[in-house]
Amino acid sequence: MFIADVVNRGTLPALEKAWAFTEARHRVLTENIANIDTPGYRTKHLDTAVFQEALGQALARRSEDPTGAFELPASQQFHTDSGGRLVVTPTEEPPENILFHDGTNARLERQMAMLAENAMMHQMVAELLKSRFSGLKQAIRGQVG
Amino acid sequence: MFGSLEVSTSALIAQRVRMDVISGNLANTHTTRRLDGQPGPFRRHMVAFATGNPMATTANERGGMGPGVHVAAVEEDPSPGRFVLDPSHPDAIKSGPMAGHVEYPNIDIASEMVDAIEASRAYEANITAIDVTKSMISTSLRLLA
Repeated sequence: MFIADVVNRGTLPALEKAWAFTEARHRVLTENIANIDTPGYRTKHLDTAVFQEALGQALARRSEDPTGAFELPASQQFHTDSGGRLVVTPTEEPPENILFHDGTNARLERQMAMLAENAMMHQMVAELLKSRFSGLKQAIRGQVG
Repeated sequence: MFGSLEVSTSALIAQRVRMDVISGNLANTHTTRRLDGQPGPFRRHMVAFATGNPMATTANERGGMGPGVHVAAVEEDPSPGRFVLDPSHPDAIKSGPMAGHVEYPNIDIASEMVDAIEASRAYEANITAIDVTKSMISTSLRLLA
């Protein structure tokens, strides 16, 4: 299908997956922040390093075979379902040394910092997607500027 | 993405309930009669937070509760109150080893103040999380603009 080819070129699928991942990660971080005062709560996380590596592998495979399917290798925390959507399963963060008095291990400062960083990453992906789509729109309109 | 808004909202509600309970405690530091008029000190109330948001309208992932936090119970602190010797008080104990003493509630103003500060800090953190969610949603709406 022609449209599918246009939308699946180059790095656009990678941007889509990054978009879905940052959105899911935002949800996990919001949940951690909501439970900052719940006794015994253990924080969940979605590992960015694992995701970045998976994206890198998929892009490397894409550069070798530009017309092949874009496949994100699945991991414990995420996989792609049959419809091409990213499905995440957040896992509990590996325990650090300190447990606070109420049995939680969440540091509010760290969660907020990760929230900010994730939001900026999301913004960046949005800007990149926007420029891609505007390029497509220009091509459709058949004029420059 | 709107799931994140519900998660943060559930936290705001829970912290607000906590503030209400703290205000009730602070208002009743010298209450010596119970609700039905019988003599007996007011007992300090405590909230118990639990993970899970029973009011979530998005799809329930784990056994009927969306992600978030809620107040599982408001319980009374069973620890004994402060005894002050005051035989002329109408609610003084009539007989027994503590005769002539009045039992005041077991509320420590300093602890309640610290709890109030913590509740407002958690409230602020969740407001920030909502701000970030809102900016992410508006970014995605502007994707094609």
